[in-house]
Amino acid sequence: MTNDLFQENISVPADKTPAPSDVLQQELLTVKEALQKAEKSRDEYRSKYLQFKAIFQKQTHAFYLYQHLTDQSKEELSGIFKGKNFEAFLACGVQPANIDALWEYARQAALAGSLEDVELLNQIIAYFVNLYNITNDAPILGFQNVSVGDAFDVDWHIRTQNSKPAGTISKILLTGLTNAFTGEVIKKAVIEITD
Amino acid sequence: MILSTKQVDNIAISENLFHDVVEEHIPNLIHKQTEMLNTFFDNLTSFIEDYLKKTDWFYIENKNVLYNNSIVALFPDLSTFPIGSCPLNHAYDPVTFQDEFEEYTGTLMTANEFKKAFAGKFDILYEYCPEYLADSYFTVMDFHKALHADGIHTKRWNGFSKANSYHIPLYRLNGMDSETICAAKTIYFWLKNDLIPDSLPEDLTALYAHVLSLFQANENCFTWTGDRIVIQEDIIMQSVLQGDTALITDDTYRNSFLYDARKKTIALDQLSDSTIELVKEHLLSCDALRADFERYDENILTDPNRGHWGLWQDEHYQSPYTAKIHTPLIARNPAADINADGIIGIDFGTKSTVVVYQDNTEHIIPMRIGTSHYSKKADLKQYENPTVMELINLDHFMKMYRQKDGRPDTLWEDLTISHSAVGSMINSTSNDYYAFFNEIKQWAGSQKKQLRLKDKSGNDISLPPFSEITETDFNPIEIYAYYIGLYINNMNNGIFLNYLLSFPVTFEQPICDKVIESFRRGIKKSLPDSILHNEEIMKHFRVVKGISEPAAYAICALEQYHFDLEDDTKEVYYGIFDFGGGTTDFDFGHWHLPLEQESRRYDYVLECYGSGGDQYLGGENLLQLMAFEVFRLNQNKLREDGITFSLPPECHPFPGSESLLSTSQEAKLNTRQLMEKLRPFWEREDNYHSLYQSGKIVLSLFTRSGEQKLNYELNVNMAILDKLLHKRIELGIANFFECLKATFGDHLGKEIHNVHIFLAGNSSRSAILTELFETYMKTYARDLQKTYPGITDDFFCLHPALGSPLPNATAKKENPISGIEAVKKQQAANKPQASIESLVQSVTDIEDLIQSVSDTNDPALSVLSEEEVLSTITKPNGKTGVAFGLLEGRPGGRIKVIMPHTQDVEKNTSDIRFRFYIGYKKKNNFQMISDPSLPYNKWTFLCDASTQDFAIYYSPRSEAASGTLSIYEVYKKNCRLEQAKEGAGIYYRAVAPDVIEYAVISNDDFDSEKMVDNVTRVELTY
Repeated sequence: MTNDLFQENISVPADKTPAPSDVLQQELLTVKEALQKAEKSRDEYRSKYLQFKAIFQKQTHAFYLYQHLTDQSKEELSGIFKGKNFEAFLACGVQPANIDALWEYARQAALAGSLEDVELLNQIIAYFVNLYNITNDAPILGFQNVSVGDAFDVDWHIRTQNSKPAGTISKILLTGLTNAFTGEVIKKAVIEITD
Repeated sequence: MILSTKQVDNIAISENLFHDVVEEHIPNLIHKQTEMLNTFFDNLTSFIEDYLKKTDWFYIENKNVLYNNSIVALFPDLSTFPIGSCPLNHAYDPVTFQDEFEEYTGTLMTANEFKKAFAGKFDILYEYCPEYLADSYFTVMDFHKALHADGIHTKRWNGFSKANSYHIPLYRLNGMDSETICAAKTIYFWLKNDLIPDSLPEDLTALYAHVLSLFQANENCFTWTGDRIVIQEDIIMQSVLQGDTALITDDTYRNSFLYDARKKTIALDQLSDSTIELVKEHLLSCDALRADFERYDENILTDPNRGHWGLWQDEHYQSPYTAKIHTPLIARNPAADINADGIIGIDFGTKSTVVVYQDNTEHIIPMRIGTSHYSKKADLKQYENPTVMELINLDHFMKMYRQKDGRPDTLWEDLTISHSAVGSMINSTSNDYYAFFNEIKQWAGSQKKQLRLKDKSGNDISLPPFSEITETDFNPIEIYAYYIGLYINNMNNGIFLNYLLSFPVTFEQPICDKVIESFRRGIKKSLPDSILHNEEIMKHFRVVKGISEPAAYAICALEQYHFDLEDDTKEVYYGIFDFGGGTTDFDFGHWHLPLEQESRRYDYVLECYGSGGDQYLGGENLLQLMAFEVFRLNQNKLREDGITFSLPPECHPFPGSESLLSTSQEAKLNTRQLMEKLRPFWEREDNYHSLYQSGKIVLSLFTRSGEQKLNYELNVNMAILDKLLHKRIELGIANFFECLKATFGDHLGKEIHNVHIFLAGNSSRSAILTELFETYMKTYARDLQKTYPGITDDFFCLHPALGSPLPNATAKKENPISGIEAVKKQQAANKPQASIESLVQSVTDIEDLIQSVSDTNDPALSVLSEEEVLSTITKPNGKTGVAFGLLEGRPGGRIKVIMPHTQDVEKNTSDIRFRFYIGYKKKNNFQMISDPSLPYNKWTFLCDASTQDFAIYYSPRSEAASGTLSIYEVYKKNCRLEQAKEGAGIYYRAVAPDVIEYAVISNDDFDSEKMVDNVTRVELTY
């Protein structure tokens, strides 16, 4: 554009050359038009981004959590999450066999004391359970209703090795899973009893 | 008539509770006392300050002396004291000085001291001072002159005056020429020197005496800072706890803490409300702390028809710690809860223990000993108590266990058993492997097995063989029995005094006796002290050996299958195949009607002909075999990753296994983890295929160095595992039939026209077992037909384990649907799913989904399934049948049980028969010389003694008699003679179930049994 202006100016006879202020004005208008166009594009992209975010925030958050697992955990989970991309993550994680395996892995990690990843795994499992449930007419899996302060029960909870064998729950390391129809516990919550 | 409850306001408490109460109660008391004492001291200080405004002199009534505060010194009562004196016109004569007064040895005052204490103050002292002294001279430490009573005038010694100078002695409490002290310090000196002034106001006198005794018990109770006395509460607390001090009190707290040194009891009187709550909480949680019971509700302490055992004082025993409460509580007499007609039957199993009982009827009821949470809905699992122990702090547990005779204050948090221990064991790490003991019965049955355990507190425990355990040692069986006793004898169930215990046929009498004794001690520990110390009641307490496990099961099965011998069938020949968790036991016998003369006493006779078994055919051993196979299949990967596993019985090392096989805790834990992973395959849980169909499983394994590998993948091949199971079970079944043939012998085809085979044990639910049995029954029937033509194809009838669904028409009668599998069918939608996939599988399509939802919503169906669950629990099954039969076959019952005769040649040898087939190798096959019916001490020829080295081949398997058993399937003992001997033979004889002796005996002198070589003892292990 700038070049065009320059060329236009050269071709105009000297006595017909527009005044410098007019040139600047024109330039300003052109820049303003370009800016408006860019802003419009930006707004469109922003709108699309927000729409995308609204749709995929949970998924991307879950993937984000997965990426923040330790390298060792990711390696050990490579049997569940085959591939490294987002699609593979979703496709693998939503399968019930993999939810089971993931939960079992989290159980082992909680009992082994690898607590830094357990909290992340808890959230990832919750995400996939909810995702799996919406692929069915009615939820199949539920979350065990356990709270700090509940009395320990060997039928419903797994205690860590450094826990007392009886007492009230002082910490929930891993949420348990239930049969959503009957409430029966499928996977017992991993808890700690220190009092 | 036994009084069942009474109100009590004086209760015995345990030492632990006493300390808790003291910690709660005494500081409060001391603090209250401190507040009172502070008030007292303030009042006393005020009194002294007021008094001192008038005079410095106090009369000390308990010492009969005078105290002067201005110089902090004591003086004699001058009105009665013979004051020494000498004339001033001479030198001072010390002989005239009377320095002793009361218990004190005084000295002369200084001039300053005289002036401060006496000068111009004789009028105040008139009561304690003769009048003449008011105008006299007094000797002071300045021996040049004596001072006049006015403190101003003096006279010289050796002067002209004929007046006397009086020598008043003083006893200093605060040094020479002491400054005047504050009131607080005055009190301190009085206390320190045990001085009680008589001028105290009445309201302070009594308290002063108590404070004095407190001070005397421990001087450090008080100190002063500035002008205040400070009370050291912690020091008073220590004094009180040592029983050195009685707290001073007003009426509310007087004698609150009484220590009776003679009776060695400490009583707490009139507990405060907060302390009473502490005591109540301890009572209500006593069994929660002891065995994880639910906390009792508060009404147990106040309902006159309920009451608490812990409040009932044992007449024969004085508790060292008692407490008095102002609102009485209800004590319950444990004697009132004795089920006088009750009998308990205990099936102490390898994997789990079952208890049934009868009260005063013939109903046999299973007892819920697998849980102490009775408010939970009854579930099958709660009627079995897994024989597993978790050791957390064994030292503390045993310390508490030994403290009391009955119901000691042991803590569940120090040692757990049952499902809690199992859950913890499954989720344990390699470091805690030895904190779990799950081979309690196997350890007892093996006479030589010693173990190392390590509790979670890090204490190493060396467990000798059971036969060497003494009464003071840690005895796992006794402790396990103690817990079983707590589940039986408690304030919910009452108390039982009569116990029967079952035993496997393989346990020798000394072992049985020791197990009985261990159970006796353990169960006694679960009884309250007042019961234990009551000789009359304890005369009825007994724990005795019942009939053998297979015999007990036989009784139960024959009854449950309605073999009542009322119809044409007047006798039944039976075989029991008890396929348990650890071993399989066989038993064979004859069920028939009693003789006419015995028919009044007995309804039936169970005659046991013989028994046998397969030591390693058990559910857990099969899991070990499968685990070993899976590990072997994945050996390359495991070798690379440094993961080891253990070698199960009957398995052999394979090439390349040197770095894989280990006895470490990691190896054992890895095997255990894989066993749990394969359990659904063995137990054929619903949709088990889905867990293995991918050909891979993932689990957590430990490397050699203890590093945990989470989500470790292993390949599995279901076909191979299936084949393994088939092969091993087939071997067991073959053994069974060989044993049956050997036991019944020539009776087959003659008196015996039919043999009913009853499956028993938790593992007998296996579909593989049933399938193989049905095949082998036909095979063996045909085999027997060759020898006994009268035998028909349906010679054998198979009956599934009690509680299983009816498999086919060979069962005599309809068996009501019950058992684990029946519950599975009925509660398909409700059954707890071990995996998400199996849950999902069960509701894969929309119809299933809707159906399962509607099923859940149908109350009629729900009610029906609950009733059936209860029915399942109350009817005997493949596991509980032994316990039921134990009670049915008890001494004094309606069934006469005849056990097989011992086979001893001499009287004092073992009560169970020799375990092995002995033979030699012939072209890679085992050739039998003798079978387990070999009598003890009977010499049998083995081979000639022409070479020094020889081998003894042996096997416990019945098929060893067939002559076709591969030599690679039997055990071998390499032996050596001191020297070879021509013309002599090597002979052997059985001396114990698994011990033989061999000797070289000259062929010429055989009849005289002339020993050429020493007798050598050999233990046969397998």
